[in-house]
Amino acid sequence: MSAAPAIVVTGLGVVTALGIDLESFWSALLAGAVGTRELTRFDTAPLSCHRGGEVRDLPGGGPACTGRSLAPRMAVRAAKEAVEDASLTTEDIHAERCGVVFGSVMATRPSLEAWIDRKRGTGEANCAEGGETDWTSPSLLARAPAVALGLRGPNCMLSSACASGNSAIAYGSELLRAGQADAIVAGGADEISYAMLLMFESFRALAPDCVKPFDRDRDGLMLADGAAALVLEREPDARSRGARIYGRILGYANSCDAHHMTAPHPQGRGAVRSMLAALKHAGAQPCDVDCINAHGTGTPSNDAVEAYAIRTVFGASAEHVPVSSLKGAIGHAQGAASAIEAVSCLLALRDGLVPATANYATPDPTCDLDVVAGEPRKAPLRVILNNAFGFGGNIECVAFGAA
Amino acid sequence: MSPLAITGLGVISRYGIGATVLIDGLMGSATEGSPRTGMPPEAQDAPVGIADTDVAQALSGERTRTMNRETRTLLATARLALADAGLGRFGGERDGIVVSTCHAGVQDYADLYRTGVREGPRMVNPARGPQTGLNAPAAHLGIRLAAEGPNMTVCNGNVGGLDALAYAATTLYAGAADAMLVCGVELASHLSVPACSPRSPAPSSRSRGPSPRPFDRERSGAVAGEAAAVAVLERESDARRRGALPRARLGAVASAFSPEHELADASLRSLVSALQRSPASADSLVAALAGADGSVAEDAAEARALHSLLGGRVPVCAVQGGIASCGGATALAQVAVAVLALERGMLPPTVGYRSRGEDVAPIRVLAGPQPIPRGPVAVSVRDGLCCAASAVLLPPPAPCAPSTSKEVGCAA
Repeated sequence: MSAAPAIVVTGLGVVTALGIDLESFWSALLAGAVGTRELTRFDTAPLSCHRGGEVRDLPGGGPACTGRSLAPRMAVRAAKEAVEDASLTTEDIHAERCGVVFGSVMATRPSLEAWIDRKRGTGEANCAEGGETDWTSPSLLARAPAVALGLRGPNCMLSSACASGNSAIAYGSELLRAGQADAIVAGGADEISYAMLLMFESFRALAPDCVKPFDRDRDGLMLADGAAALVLEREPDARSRGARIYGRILGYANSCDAHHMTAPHPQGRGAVRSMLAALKHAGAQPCDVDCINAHGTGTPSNDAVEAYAIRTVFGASAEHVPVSSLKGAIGHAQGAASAIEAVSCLLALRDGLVPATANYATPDPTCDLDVVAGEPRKAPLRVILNNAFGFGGNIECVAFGAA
Repeated sequence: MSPLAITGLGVISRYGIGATVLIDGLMGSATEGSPRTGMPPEAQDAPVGIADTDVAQALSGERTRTMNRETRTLLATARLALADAGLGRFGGERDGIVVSTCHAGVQDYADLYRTGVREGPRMVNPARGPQTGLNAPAAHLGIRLAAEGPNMTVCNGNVGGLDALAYAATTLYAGAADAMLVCGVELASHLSVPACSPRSPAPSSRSRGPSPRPFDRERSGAVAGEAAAVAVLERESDARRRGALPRARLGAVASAFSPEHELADASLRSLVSALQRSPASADSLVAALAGADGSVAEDAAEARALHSLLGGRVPVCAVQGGIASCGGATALAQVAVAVLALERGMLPPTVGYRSRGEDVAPIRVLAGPQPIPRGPVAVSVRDGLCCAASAVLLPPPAPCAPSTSKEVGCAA
């Protein structure tokens, strides 16, 4: 596996239904707020679910965002916040040595809906404002932040379905280790689309009222808008410029269930391998893990399989490892989800606080984990494992460590 | 760390099945890309398509009922590459897949949306949903080949094929896999054809003729194309251990972006970076596979970059003159041609090129086949958003010898 130098995180940015900047997101999450609410951008009357983690009132974002659809605009905002948070300037790093890696499930594809509606003459129904031809270029998700920030290094848009955010973080780290860049802005972005609402409706996978990860009465997921970005640097570089370090990226691993396009492997085969390989890459053992940020979508099958996989990896100690899912609070931001959760992991490391799983009330015997509920849990945190699973069996787990 | 080697190639293009068929087509300088499938020939902007009959032939009766056309085509092409590499036992935890595509699933997405809006959510077929995502071809391929290693999709326009190669190389160097299928697939549809030249819907960027004419005086824009191209990448030591012959060594891959939309700058920086990271130098290059697609401004910018680095010494072939603009498959088709050109010692011409445009720097674009000595070859690609990537391919250290597959065209 990859050798030193260590990769560290020096800046964070986030856009979610709970808040469109770092501290408002984190304070709302710790306060137990729930960001899912009635959807306003779509006519949901034909659907059984009318709620989601909608991001509203996103500020303009400058020229790079003019006329753009929501996902690239969120990506730009998160990337800008992360770079500002890292205090990264062109005096520190040459723009040609700074790249962007973003991940997404659909990238700019939702803008196709506005394009189709326009062609049908139905006006603005079911579409986010602007960017009707953005769907022709999914790479805009990585290009737009680079344009906004003037970054001229490697630029890449990845997709590993709902594991895309973690994949972007992992690949960005590899680019740094290979010396192809000195800083990488890595993250994910995705927006709610009507097509995805239709798809999950056809699976009967949408929760009607709220998302209850790992709860006995969980009944589905809710889609969400969102984006997050992390500034990654090699540790010696970050320390030499005096950067604040949120934490280290200790290890990561991508694997594939190779089982089914929508259903996870019943024994969580890919998830087990990815968790174990990420820990091995990190030079850590399961007993070193202080907390798991679960994928925890709130669907009956995902949560049961994830719990099974965690028990397989952690054995009897699984019940002593705090597990938390953000999706009860912000919904499922698809390709952005694991990037947002990565931000949460790093803030948890900073503050020694594991956020609670919103809406968790009744334990499920098939998910016999130590689910953090009610209030954030104070704990000395050294290693956090961030799980991300996607359709098609795409899986990427990342282990974060304290600075 | 062992160098990385390309040990197998698979291509399905407008010329038919196989990488040798592609390079033979380019050598024969076929110029008119009559649409073969995908869209009706009378359609405006009809693409330079590939034939579904070719895909079916390559699949040899394999069942693909749940796959869309992109995934089916990709599977067929992957089978060709695996056979070429002699990797009959591909799959399991140590083998991975990375796919480059721009528009995979876009038609499925549009169909699902239209059905839901017009006929109601109850009429949406749950089986169609998973096809709508960008990662669908890679995931399907993973399931079919039982490949449980890394599985990734790269969506970077024409540049994506080299980014996929870079992802695979990174994965192999990190020890996270033993073999990677590096894939590109792009098929045309009524939706994606207007987007063949990403972010450049302006009339000036679209060809007025049925074929693109890269670098040519009379070029008038890009033409949509269809292709799938797959390369098997593995550590050279692993390949030799299992008795496979490396067809080319991967020197390096690098990419660059120009937020100021200075394409020549991004192209040049990616070329320089790839050369710096490889054992080759600009002086040692024997050929360049350019990413020119007939676009007026972009071809001129790429020519400036190539000229500033190579002058007029190195022969240049733009594959898209023959296969048109194939999005995520473009770069890997160029890689396939580069590997075969190395093996044959012969670089194909740029189909459609007759005389250099006045705005094109004096690079040595070939109008006819040209013998090349054994040596490093550069592959250059760029997209409409001013991202560029370059790769350096090297001849394998041992003398080229025939492999076990009919796919190999070693005439060197």
